[in-house]
Amino acid sequence: MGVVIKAFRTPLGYYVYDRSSNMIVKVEKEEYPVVLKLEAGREDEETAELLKAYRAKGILKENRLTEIRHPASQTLPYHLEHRVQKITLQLTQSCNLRCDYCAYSGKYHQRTHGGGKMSMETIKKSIDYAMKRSDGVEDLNIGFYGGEPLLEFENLKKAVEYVSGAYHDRKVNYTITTNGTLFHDEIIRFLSAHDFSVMVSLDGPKELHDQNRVFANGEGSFDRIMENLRYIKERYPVFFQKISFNTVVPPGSDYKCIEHFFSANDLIEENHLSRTTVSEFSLKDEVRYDDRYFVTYQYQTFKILMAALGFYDKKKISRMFSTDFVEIQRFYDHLGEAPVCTSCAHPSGPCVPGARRPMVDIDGNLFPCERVSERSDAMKLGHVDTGCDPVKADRLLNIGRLTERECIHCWNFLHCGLCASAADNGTALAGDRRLSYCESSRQGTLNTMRSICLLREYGYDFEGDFFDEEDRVISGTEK
Amino acid sequence: MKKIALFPVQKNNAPLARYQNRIPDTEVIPILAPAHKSMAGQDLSALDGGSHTGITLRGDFEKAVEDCELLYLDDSRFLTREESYAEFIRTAERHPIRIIYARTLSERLHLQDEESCSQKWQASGLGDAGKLTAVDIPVISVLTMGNETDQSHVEIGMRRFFQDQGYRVSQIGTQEYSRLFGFSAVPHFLFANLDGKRKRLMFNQFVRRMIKEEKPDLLIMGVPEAVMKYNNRIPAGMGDVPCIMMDAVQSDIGVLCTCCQPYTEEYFKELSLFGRYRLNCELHYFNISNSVVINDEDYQDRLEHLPLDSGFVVSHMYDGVDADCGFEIFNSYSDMSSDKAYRRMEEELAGNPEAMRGGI
Ligand code: SF4
Repeated sequence: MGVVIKAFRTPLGYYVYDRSSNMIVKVEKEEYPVVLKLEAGREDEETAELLKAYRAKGILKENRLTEIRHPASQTLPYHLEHRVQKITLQLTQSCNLRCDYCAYSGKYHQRTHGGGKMSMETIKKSIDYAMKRSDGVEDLNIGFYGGEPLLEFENLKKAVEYVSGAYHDRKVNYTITTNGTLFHDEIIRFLSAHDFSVMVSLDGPKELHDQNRVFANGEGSFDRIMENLRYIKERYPVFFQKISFNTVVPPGSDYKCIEHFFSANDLIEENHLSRTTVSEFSLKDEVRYDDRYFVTYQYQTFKILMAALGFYDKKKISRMFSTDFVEIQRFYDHLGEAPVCTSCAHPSGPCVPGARRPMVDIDGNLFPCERVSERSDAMKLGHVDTGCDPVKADRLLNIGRLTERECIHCWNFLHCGLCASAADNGTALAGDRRLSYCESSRQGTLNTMRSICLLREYGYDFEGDFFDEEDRVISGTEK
Repeated sequence: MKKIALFPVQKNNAPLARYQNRIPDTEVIPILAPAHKSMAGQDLSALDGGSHTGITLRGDFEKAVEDCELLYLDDSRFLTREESYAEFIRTAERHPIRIIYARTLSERLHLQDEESCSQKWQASGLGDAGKLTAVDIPVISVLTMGNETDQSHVEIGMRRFFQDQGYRVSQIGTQEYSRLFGFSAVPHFLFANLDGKRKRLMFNQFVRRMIKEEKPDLLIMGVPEAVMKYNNRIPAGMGDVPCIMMDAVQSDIGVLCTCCQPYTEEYFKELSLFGRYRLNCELHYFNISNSVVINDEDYQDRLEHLPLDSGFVVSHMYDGVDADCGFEIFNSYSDMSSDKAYRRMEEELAGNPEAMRGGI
């Protein structure tokens, strides 16, 4: 069956990533061509000798993987019954904005602005559903989502009051994702009183934000949001600290300009900030980021690495990119853990659908999360009246079975990150669609491994505290 | 009949309710934490995953404590806010009830004078004898790989088994309610800021004093804290307390309690060797608990568990292991599998004159 490895280089060294131990191993320059032969599955005396030497050290073990099966498969019904961690309620499908790349804009298969809203009966049922199935978790998270959830503020209030009454001694954390245009005193006071974590979407300076985030009449929303934020910061400074921002970086943007806006803006300089790219999954037309994005990204990564090594001022690192370093550190921290050494495993990526963060749409249908297509039958897990269908949840959990042949031999297995939504072509789950994302997933992993090796070569101390918790204000995820 | 309210009932203290018939003239009322309220009205087995008990889980704290004489208040990860405890305490105090606190809870709430479920065998007066002395009765140690391994259930289930066979059992329990069953909890000095040698010597004396007084046929020693770190990010206690206790008192049999995972025979072999070289006691008995460690979080710095039930565990515990592998793999909530394991221990001890003599 051979070994599953990935050979790679940095300017200063030669390495091999070994899936059987989940470790990166430095190799001698002379050995590197032999490692490349091993990677390509070519066997001869040289490779046999090298393998023998490595195996004596407990690495580069024979690939024993023959079956793709998620370890949570057998216990899935228990997850669904006991471990609902977060439930997201789609209070409404309406929005007062018409953002170009929004899931409801019509560009995605998944949704259009329907105008429907969730009834109080469905809200209560959804809350009961989650309460009943979360006895295995300490705190339950309830998220409010839309459309624009604050259009349904009255129902949001009633939902929170229902929880406070019926489940008064249960610890609940509330979150809301909003476009930030509808805040007023009553809303602010209510969200503040119930300790909401608020995520506001803000895409950068006015000229960029207003290109995409417009009211139904075509007017930009930037001024309204900034006015609201200034008001909140002045009148409700404590609550203001709990607001975080998400910037969606659309293809073709002036990335430098976005970067500059967030670095120089006094108003939100202390708030958490996350960066997302426009989701390709479920999009009708192909979305392509041009070279400028990748150049900006690589340049920022380069600056982070330089800062880690003390060659660049840490304070000058872009806020949009700085916690990308946290991902590098995490990757490093988990090396060596959970290697693929059994005959049955599943690539990383899928969460336990229906348990981790199910979303309920306005009609009470259950989906794995708010990011998936609501129009895809494969993603519909069930209904709050009847619960999740374990067979459907199992299919999403075991999405790697669709691409079993490829995944069994893939070195990126433990770092893949592709969940079921990457396989959803709008009508069904498709292996070829999933495979179309492999290359970028592998490239991301390879970049991270190269960064780790480069840092090590220059003496970076991964056990040190280059970035402390305070610095972890940004995360690079995909919307 | 004395009534004891147990709050919040959870997996680690559920044996207090399940085995209440081992506490004379006592009824234990298990009251759920708010997070578990949806289980109110169900049998205790819904919580611990064992067989049906006929004991009903209660969700109505105030009503449930109304006619209880004693409230055993335990520390819980499902009650993260100290104010919640304060509220429940205030409610309980509206009734003539005595409250005893789990040690970790009284520490967490900074209670000084409150009654904790204290030692039966006081550690005071334990000097530094300078040497370890053999304990000359058979010793079974119950060890754990971490939380949610049903360790306390094994301890009490084993006690039931050996007492029913007519043995006089001395016991040290990992849970602080042990005293309610008439035996001591692990002495607090093991967690104090003392050097390891001193702790070993003191614990050795502590056990000998207990045995001298109780004259048992057998000692069941619950050993708290995980025997090893889980990984570098979750070091737990690094296995320090287990090492100290196992050094101080030589065990004849070691039982390791662990969560339900797809194990292999090699894994158990490695654990057995780990026992031999690190814990002074080869491990052949493994309790597989009604919980599984959750692995689905991308990056986790703490362990989360999923509750299972005995039926599931029993049907999967031998999945990757040959039934004739020589290891006794059991689930304490399955009477059939646990009694088989306990019987084998009894036979092993009876057939081992060394064990009967004990000794370090
Ligand atoms: S990158 Fe592709 S082949 Fe590799 S594990 Fe992920 S889905 Fe499978």
